[in-house]
Amino acid sequence: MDRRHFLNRSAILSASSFLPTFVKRSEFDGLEVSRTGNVLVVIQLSGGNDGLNAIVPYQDDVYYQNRPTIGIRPEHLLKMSDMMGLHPAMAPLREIYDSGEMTVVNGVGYPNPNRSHFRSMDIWHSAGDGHRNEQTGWIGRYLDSNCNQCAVPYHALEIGDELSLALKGHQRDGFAMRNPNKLKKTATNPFHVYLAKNYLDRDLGNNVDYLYKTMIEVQESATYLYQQSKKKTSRTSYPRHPFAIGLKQIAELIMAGTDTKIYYISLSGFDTHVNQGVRQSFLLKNYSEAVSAFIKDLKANNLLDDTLVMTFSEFGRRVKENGSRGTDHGTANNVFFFGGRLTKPGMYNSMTDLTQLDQGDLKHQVDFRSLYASLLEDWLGSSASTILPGAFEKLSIV
Amino acid sequence: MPTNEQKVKHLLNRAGFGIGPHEWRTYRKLPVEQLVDLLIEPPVMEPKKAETKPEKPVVNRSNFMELSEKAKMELKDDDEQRLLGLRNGWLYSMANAGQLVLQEKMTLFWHGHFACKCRGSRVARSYLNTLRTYALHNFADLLLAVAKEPAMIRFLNNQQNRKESPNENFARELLELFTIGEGNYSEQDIKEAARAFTGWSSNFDGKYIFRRQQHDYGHKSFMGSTGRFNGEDIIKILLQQKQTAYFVASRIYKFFVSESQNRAHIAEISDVLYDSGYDIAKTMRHVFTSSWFYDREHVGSQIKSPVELLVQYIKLFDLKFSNKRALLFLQNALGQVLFDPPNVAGWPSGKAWINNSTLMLRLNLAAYLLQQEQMDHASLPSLKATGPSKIVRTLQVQSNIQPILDLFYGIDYKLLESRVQEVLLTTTEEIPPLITPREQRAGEYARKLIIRTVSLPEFQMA
Repeated sequence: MDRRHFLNRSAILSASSFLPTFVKRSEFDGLEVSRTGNVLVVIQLSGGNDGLNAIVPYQDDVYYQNRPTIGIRPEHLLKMSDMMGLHPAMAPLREIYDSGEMTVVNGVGYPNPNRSHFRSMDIWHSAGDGHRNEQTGWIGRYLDSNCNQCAVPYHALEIGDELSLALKGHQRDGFAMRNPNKLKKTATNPFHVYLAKNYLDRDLGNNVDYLYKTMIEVQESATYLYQQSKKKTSRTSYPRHPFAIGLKQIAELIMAGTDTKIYYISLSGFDTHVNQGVRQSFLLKNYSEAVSAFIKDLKANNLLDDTLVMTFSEFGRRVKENGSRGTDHGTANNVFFFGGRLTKPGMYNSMTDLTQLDQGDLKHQVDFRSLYASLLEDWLGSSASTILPGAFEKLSIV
Repeated sequence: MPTNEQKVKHLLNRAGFGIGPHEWRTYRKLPVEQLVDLLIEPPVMEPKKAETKPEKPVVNRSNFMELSEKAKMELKDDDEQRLLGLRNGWLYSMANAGQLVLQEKMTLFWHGHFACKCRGSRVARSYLNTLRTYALHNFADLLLAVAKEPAMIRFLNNQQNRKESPNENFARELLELFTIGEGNYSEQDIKEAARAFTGWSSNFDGKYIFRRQQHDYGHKSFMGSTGRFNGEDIIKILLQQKQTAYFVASRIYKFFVSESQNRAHIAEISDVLYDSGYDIAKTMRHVFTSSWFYDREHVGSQIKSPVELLVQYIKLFDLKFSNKRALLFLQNALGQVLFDPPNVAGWPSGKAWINNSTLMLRLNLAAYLLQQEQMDHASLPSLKATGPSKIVRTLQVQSNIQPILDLFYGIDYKLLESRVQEVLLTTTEEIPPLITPREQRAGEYARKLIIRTVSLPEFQMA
């Protein structure tokens, strides 16, 4: 069919609208691809969560000496072991912890810690060695090495408006989306669908070609994710804040068998320099309620064995509280894992020694890239050495 | 061979920020050589100076410390507003540069070359004015001035570079990214250079200051020479290296000509730069008068940077935002915020600008800006800070499409599509019809045609 003919046939115009309805509906329907293998969900707590007040070493006098006003008293904590207690706002996770579906790794960090939010986050995203100029992230490089032939970019999906560095690769990028309905609306407006249908793949390999191919890829992904999002409706009740809605979205996509290996979502606001107590409680409550609903939802659908959740923050906070009932930027921190197939549920390792500090900050015991290596090899079945800079000893997470 | 009109368009894309209605009228018939002359030596040579409102209370180090937390926060907010004003002002001076457009384009180029995150409006303003002042003059002067910019000194920790405890950050970037390039120096060179720059610092007021007691006056061995070198000596030695000219030439080539490096062409640029004693205007004249600059393979081959795209939109449609934060929001969402490069290496360009969310925003930009279509973006509500308290979903912008419409006044509808594309696009590939026969019969479709043309992937190219 030539273009003019097609145009005459399918043009349904409205004189007042910005873009005419060139086509009645997207022609990308009919993609049927399903996931095989495990799912990884990465949760980022932005701003530097105070891990020391999340998982509290309540037997340690040094903790209370350093935190006379913001230290959490033993009687308020939910005891996880004879050493450690959970922040009261994290109560919804207690049951999950008790049933062996949560692992806490203490003292995770990296050498020469950087205390800038942006730099430290870049280091976690890139899994670099702290040298600047990182332009790719560990998940993006996973896509490069494991998904080079993938036709679509949503194998790694970020719930958000902008794609994080972690999901950017050399050849392939992940996909960012906040809401499948709105994505479909912006990605498949009739004018751009019309252009896609009339695009002659000249395969010139130039930048215009690249833009067209990316546009078509986005349209296909938007259509696919929209369809997937309509397949299953979660029966679990989630809180109503955006982070929980995002996790619910992820649960529904996993239930629908969506061909996405890695999901990425953030919760921000953890930069608690002033009056930390109320703020952190509020955030940890939101976090814990949402994660608890998510884990229960997956479990009810027999999907928890296929899923591993990791929660990290760009750094922990100073051991000693500051003069404003808050804490300043620190270094090593705890990382939480959730899933049905954890090798070592509970406390993975002991709490970092609060008396052995480096300029008032915790020394890291575990390099975060060791965690990535474990996830990449033991969960995603990939080779860590092609993705991470150097060899890192794995942990037995799964 | 491209026509003169095509050359003019390509030149204005690369040496400026694309075609606006005024430029199309004024320059399309001008022989491209004359346009090069005009851009390199505009009749008015005095560059614009970025200004911010005078600060209300005079704050110095001692009375700052005595301020209450609340007063400090207010000062911080006030300064953020100034920085926002500088950023918006910069975008508008690019859009309204007139004959100084090359100077503005060079300023943007140097911002990427001497990439610096500027914290605070005072140092940002000073840094920008320095880039502007030297943008088309001499690279040696520019380099020295940038090395003394408080924004750069603070960004690269030269504030902490002291005789007893040298900090190598600035010295490393000076060699690796500003002058000679990676692989052309030793780690020892960096250590020695760092010693030479000890004491180059800035004071509380955001002014350069040389702290004598922190400077290392001892002997240094740098790139084969030995002496009691200071920072200026290091810069002189670096400029004597031909490799420095080559490195800067390769950055110029990448930004103004092509992502794929042509060693012969870069060597030509490098020779002009070196032999002219680092004269930027002479060097750029060589680039813009070389026949290879107008090669078919280069025309329309670059993906516009977010700033280039926004500036061209402002020019084409005379955009006026009622919300001061709207342009910051757009820079953020598109991936390039002035005064805030991702790191000292500047912005990765080309395909790196593109991911699923940035591309769809680029393609829908006309709808959001010209049709006030609702956007869905999590950071939009933060725009309401200066507006009414209802949730913001549109960008609240005034536009004027008339000047560009006027270019096509009286043109037969059969020719209209190709005329609009001639002005707004660089491609010579076929584009499917953008206006349906029914719309043609309905009349008054020129406006739609323009909006659809700037919504094409092809419009992203320069």
